[in-house]
Amino acid sequence: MPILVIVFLMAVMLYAQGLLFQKKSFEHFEYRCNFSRPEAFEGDEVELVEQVFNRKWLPLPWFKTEITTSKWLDFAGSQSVVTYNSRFVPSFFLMKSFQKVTRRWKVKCLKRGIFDIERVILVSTDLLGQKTMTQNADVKAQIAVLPQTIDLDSSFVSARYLQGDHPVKNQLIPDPFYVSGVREYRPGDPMKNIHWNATAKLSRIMIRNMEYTTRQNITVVLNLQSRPFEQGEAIDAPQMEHCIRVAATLLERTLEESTPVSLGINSNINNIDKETTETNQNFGREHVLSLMRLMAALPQGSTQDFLVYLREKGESFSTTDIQIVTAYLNEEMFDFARRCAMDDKRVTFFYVGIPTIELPDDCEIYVLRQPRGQSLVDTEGEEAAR
Amino acid sequence: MSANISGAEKKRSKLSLFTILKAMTVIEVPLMMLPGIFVSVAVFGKLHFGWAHFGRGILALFIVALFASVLGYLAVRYDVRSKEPDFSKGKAMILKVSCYAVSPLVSLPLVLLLWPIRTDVGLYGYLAPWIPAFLTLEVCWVFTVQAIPGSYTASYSTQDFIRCSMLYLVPIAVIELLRALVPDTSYNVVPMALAFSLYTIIGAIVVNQQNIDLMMERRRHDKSSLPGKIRVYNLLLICGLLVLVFSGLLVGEQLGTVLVWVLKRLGLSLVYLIAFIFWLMSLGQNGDSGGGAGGGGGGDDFSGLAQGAKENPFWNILLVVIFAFVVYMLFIHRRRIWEAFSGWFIKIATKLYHFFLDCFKIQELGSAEGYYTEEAEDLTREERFAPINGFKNKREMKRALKQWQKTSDPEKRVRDGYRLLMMASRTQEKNILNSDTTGEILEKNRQSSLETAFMQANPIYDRVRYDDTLPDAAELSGFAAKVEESCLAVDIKKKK
Repeated sequence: MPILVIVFLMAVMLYAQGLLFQKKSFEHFEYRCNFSRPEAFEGDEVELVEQVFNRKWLPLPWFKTEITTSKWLDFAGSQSVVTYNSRFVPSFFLMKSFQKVTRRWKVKCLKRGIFDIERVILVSTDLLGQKTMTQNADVKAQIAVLPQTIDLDSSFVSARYLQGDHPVKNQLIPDPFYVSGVREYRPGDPMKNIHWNATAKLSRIMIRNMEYTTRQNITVVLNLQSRPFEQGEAIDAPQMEHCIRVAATLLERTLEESTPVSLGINSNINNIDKETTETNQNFGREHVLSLMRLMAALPQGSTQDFLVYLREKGESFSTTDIQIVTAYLNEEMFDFARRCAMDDKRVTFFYVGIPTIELPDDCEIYVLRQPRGQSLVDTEGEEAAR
Repeated sequence: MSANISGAEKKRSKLSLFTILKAMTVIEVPLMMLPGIFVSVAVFGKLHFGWAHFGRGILALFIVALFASVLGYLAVRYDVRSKEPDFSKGKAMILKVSCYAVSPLVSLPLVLLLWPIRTDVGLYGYLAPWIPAFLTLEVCWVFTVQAIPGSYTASYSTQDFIRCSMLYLVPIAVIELLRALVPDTSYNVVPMALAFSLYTIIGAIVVNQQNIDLMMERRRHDKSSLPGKIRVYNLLLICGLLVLVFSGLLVGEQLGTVLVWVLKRLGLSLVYLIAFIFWLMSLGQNGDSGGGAGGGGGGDDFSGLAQGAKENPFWNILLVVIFAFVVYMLFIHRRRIWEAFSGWFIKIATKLYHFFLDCFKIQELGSAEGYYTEEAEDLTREERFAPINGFKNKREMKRALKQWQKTSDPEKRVRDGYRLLMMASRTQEKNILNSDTTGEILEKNRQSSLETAFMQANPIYDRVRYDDTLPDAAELSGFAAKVEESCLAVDIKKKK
């Protein structure tokens, strides 16, 4: 009865291969997934590295990973499916025995934030698809996308267009450490500043020219309310993102002069109501990076009304300069600036919005320059994610 | 220029795997119908079935399927074109109807030609066996026409595969039953076995490829994102499995004979060995009495077993020795033999894989469009083993610690203790590799609870490992205390 033998053998083989793949597919098998670097800036391209190790003789007919992550990490082009805030990417592998496959996806960071690979499901099957094996992978891949910096000089213009005369503050005593050159001695110059080498060379009394300096320190205040009286999540999220970018740029600018800087925000990374963020003052790249990381983790909305925040925390800003980045302006904010001016604190507003009120002349306000035909805020990321 | 043209022609000449799969699903239809012919001939042909009947049946079915598929294909083409605004829909409709209507024009002459009516046997001759054959051909025609439109996944499924396997099995069972009841039968089952094998091979390949497509369709993935080489690789795997099954069938009997022979030899060797031992024993007890038969009770017990050995003991002992030597040589060189064979097998499989890859049009969208880059490499001997993981739970850690505490050898104590520290570090999710140096391990554990432990353990371990210098008793007890303290202090989170 050869036909019965064939049938029996066939049935046994088909069943056995299903059982074999079911039992052994994920044995001696390892899946790793991580980002090529832990931090990146908005718009940067990083790599998502998937590594699959098949440490056994049994090859897999096919192996698939289903990656779920944030839609703001753009990769896999048409292969990915975007739903609400998630991006779903299937990734297919061919796994031979004792083989390692490394796949590097090119990921574009569309928006600032702390993003992780939310879930990875591993799927495999037997040769005839009788049995499908799935397993959740333990993945701890995370990336902090820091806010992008912008060109402030070309993006903002002073509300006064620098018209008229402005008082310039001067110090009484020049800074002995800030020598700008040598000049001829004038009566009244202290003798200790004579530059003897230059005097001998020129046969005239030459004196060191000292500059007047002041110790500047800045508090960048970020308003995460896109409208007055707005509570919770911001209505105009793209505008808030732009506010964050402006604040990041202001922070980055302090690196040039190593200016001490602190950050104040009417929100917090844990999104706890009524809690706000005020950081310590420090300078240098590490400090600025830590502030950027903090901004990367911020939610898209405020936890306290900005005017309440200014009332409660405004007095505690002990810096020479306060730079407020906001999406709206009102009279109370100008009053705050005037009060600070009386305490010798300079308040500058960076207004990320279309001016709807008359801006006062006694306040330093920079308005977002909006070239004709160009959107107010950068929506490239939004478009790409869509 | 000419090189370009030849390249383009070469590209065009490549086959589309989907076209082949579609053709396979169409070929499955006549193979599915073959049991119908088989039954009609077996029942109405007085239980005689041989190669002639099989040949006639398969010829008729394939001719019918060919005509039906040509007409079906034309109907599909016209059906598609009928959606164009300037195309007459009537033509498509006529063709669709005629697809089914003309079937008797092909199948009837075929049946009459291959199974002529026998007037000499009365009414039975008029009816049998051409009527059931004609009906089978008609069904084959209809099914073939229906299988033409759509993708290959739509026209065939795993259920069809199982159902039609039953179509083969049920008639075979009936025939077997009839054969048992009616002695006057000449029934050659080999042609049917051949047809069933062909049906199974094609079915298995189609189902294997469908497995990939259906998974994509179920999860609504874009099929274009599937690496083309996965298909070829699967094709190779399923073909390998089928080759294994059928070669097992072909040489199974011979293999069985060989196996039985080997087992018999092994059994006999054992008998010879026992007999030889008893012979030696009896030699010591009875001086020059010779043989084993006249020995004690033991000798009597094994006298039957040693009967063969008595006939030609020297030759048999030599045979056993040679056999044992061959087995021993095979065993000690098993790795080399396996490597030679596996290397040979891998070479053939790789060549076949590349041959298939060259045969078909392969689409690699993911990497071609620059979404990703991929690198596949064979694992080295070291990489084949998974790295040592951390402790899964407190119990496992305590057990390992207890076992380590029993170690008295100072060198082993240091080396195993250091391994425990590494495991503790891995438990804290530090990426410690087996290839890491002690310095690297320390760097990876900076600002962790294990930093001081590694600072203390590294110099001791380095001396033991590379300098063969054993630590003194005080140093060793300090090391042991640190290992114990560090392991117990590790926070082990339960994995869900």
